[in-house]
Parts: sequence; C-alpha cells; structure tokens
Amino acid sequence: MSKDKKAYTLDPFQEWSHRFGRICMILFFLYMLAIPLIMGAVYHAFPSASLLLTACSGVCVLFIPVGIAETISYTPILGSSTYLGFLTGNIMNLKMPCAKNAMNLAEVDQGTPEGDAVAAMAISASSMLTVIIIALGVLLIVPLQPILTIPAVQTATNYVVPALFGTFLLGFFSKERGEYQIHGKLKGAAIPFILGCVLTIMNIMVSSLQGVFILLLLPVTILCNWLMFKKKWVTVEKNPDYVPMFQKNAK
Amino acid sequence: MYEGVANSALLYILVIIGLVGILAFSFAFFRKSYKRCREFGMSKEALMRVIRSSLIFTIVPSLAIVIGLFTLTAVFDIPWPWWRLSVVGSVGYELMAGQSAVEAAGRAVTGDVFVALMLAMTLGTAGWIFGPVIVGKKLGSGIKKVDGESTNPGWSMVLNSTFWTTMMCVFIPLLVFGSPVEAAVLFTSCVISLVLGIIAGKTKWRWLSECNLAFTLILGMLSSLLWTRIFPAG
Repeated sequence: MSKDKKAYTLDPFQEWSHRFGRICMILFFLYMLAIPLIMGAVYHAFPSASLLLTACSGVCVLFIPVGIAETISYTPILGSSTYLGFLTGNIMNLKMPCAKNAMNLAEVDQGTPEGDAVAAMAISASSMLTVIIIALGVLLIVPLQPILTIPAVQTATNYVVPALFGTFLLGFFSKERGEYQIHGKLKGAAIPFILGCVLTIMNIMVSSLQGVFILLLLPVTILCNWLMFKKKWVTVEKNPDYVPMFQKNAK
Repeated sequence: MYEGVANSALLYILVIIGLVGILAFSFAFFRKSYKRCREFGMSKEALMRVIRSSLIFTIVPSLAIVIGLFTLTAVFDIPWPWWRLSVVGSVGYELMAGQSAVEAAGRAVTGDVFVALMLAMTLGTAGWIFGPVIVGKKLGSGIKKVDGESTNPGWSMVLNSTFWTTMMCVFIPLLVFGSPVEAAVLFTSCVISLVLGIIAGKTKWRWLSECNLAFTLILGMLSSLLWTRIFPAG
C-alpha cells in the first residue's frame, strides 16, 4: 500500500458543487423565509412575538439538532451532492437509496470524484421527477385522492423505509463493485451493531432520533474499524473484476 | 381570513417561483454532473441506464410524498404543503412539524396563526440547510485528505464506509425490534432483492438489474399487506 501522501485537491466538479451548493442553500433559505413574511405583510397577518415563539419553540428545539445530526451523518455518503440532497429533502426514503443504487450500477466507489458525479446525477434527476410528480399530485388532487387514500395504499406506503433497507442489507453483505473492495467489514460492524440492538431493546434508541444515534454510534464504528484495520482484520484490496469506465466504453 | 391566506393566488405564485428555482438548481447539478461523468469516460448508454434506474425508482417514494400532501392539505390547504414537500425535510418531518406547531399555537388557525406555522416549519429546517453549508465541504474533503493522493485509498475507504455501516447499525435494529411487520418487510425485500439479482445475473437481463431497487421496493411494500394481517398489532 502506497504511503505517498500529498495535499488533496478536490475534483473540479466537487469544487463547483460545494461553492454553488452553499450559495444556493443560503439563497433558498432566505426565499423560504420570505414566503411567510410576504404573506404576513400583504394580508396584514403578522403573528405576535409570543405566538411566533410558541409555534416555533417546539419545532425548532426538536428538529434543528436532528437536522444538524443528520447532516453530519449523511454528508460523507452523499458527498458533494449533499446540498442538492438536503435542499430537495426526503434523504432516507429517496435520495440516499437513489445515490447508492446509481453508484452500484455505475460500479464506482462512494467518496471518489466518479462516485460523487454519479450520485449527483442520480439525485438531481430524481429531484426533478419528484417535483414534477408532486405538481401532478396537486393538479390531479380530486381524481387521485380517493385512489391514493384507500387503506391498502396507505398501509403499503408506511413501509417504504423497511422495504428499502432490505436491499441495503443485502448490499451490505455483498462486495463493493468499484475499484477497491473492503474485506472484513462485517467484523468492523459487529460491536456497533450489537450496541444498536441493545439500545433499541432498552428503548433508548428511537426512530425519531435516528440521526442523533448515528452520530453517537459513529465514533464507536470508526474506533472498531481503525483498530481492526491496524490489526489487518479489515483490509482494502483492489477489485480483480474491476474494469475502468473508459475501457468499458471502448468495448 | 385564514383560508384567504392559505389558498391565495399570491401563495401559489410564490410557491411556483420557488419550485422553478428548485428545478433550475437540480438541472444545473444534473448538467454539470452528467458532463463530468462523460469526462470520466462513462458512455452515454451507461449514464442513461443510471438515469433510467433512478427515475423508475423515484416514482413509488414520490407517490408516498403525494399521500403526505393529501394529509397536510386538510390543515394547510394546497400551496403550502406543495412547497414544503418539495423542499428540505421529509414527509415525516412535515407531518410532525405541522402537527406540533398547530398544537403549540393552541388555538384555531387564523391568518396570523397560519403565518406563524409557516415560519415555524421553515425555521425548523435550519439544521438541514446550515449543516451542509457549514460542514459539507470540510466533511467531504476531510475524509479524502486521510490518504492524500495515494494510489490505494486504504484507511480513507474504510473510514468512508463507517458512515454507511453506522447507519445500518442504527436502522436495522430499529426495524427488526421496532415492529414485527417492519422486520418482516425488511427480510422479505432482502429476499426479493436477492432473487431478482440472481435472475438478472443468470438471464443477463440488464433491465432487471436496473429495476431491482424499484421492484424490490414495490414488492416489499406490497408484502406489508400480508404481514399486517399476520401481525395485526404490528
């Protein structure tokens, strides 16, 4: 394994997406805030300070820390498409699986410039389609509502996350399809997984705070993997079946 | 008064302008990333496969969002839920935040209460907005810096995988011990994905590999109808 460490420079696409993403996130947040402020001004419906404080306190106290925790937990997976992912929302039930699936199909590694570009392409395509589908839902609200609110459809849609994680679980046991493969990753996952099970059984870990618990368990996973990497129980090897993209293209 | 604000033409216009902005933002990312993928040497055909698979997969979760839209319209009318479900957060967040803000306000929804609820639901998303702005670049490049430009990613690759591993170590126990139906759906979709993968491998049906996630999602969700009958309390 080469030890020749040099200063890491970001890929031009990653550099662009960080700069463009940050600026747009701030601009969109200002626009989001502007909508209620404009409505309040035009309709003379500004809430009193006490009403605003009452309405905001519960939501902000609960959700701002969750949002920050989820950002820290999911950004390394989403890479530079994190801005796009978080701005258009529905990370766990849409953007994350979409990015993972795309990287898997393109046979590129997560966290690489190639992986970042593929994930961004998939997430952006998915985001545009979601905006269009919701708009169609609004346009067709009268004919669609009776169909989409039948009990069977509502029951099925409550299980999007477990249905997605079935595929993830299978993928977790499979080898990476990119240039490198991690051997022994299940060993590195054993202790945090047991800890996760214990915390869930004890009712300490709950679904609504999943982002916070990812953040809390992360140091445990990193430490376990680091120790096992040092002991060579967890190793990184070149994928013998890997064919670089330009070679595939040439075939 | 409240209906006048919640269903006003002005709110529709503001929402549509914002959505056009979101589409433009997504399109800018799409164009730039597609171009970069081409520069990496990916063929147009391979990229189309990825795009097609992403779009097919997106349909079902998006329908779940539309169902969330119907729920929210009961309180907030149409334009505000339309906007909220198209940006930041998730269906779950919007439903919880909306309910929580309505309860906190503690009185009938009038014009000023509606504006307060809109502000509360927007400010609640600040973590998802400012999190990436503050740590997005540092987190991404910080991990890659571990090995510098080394030819073998080594520890950085393991480190990068720990985020996904941790996510699995949180979600899988929550689903397995959360409710028998969730656990059953999880394992059912795992088996479906495996079977579809085997069929795609044996038959060399590329379209099946592309649609594996979408088919697994639909069949896994449909299996919940069976499992809720077997475990009615789940």
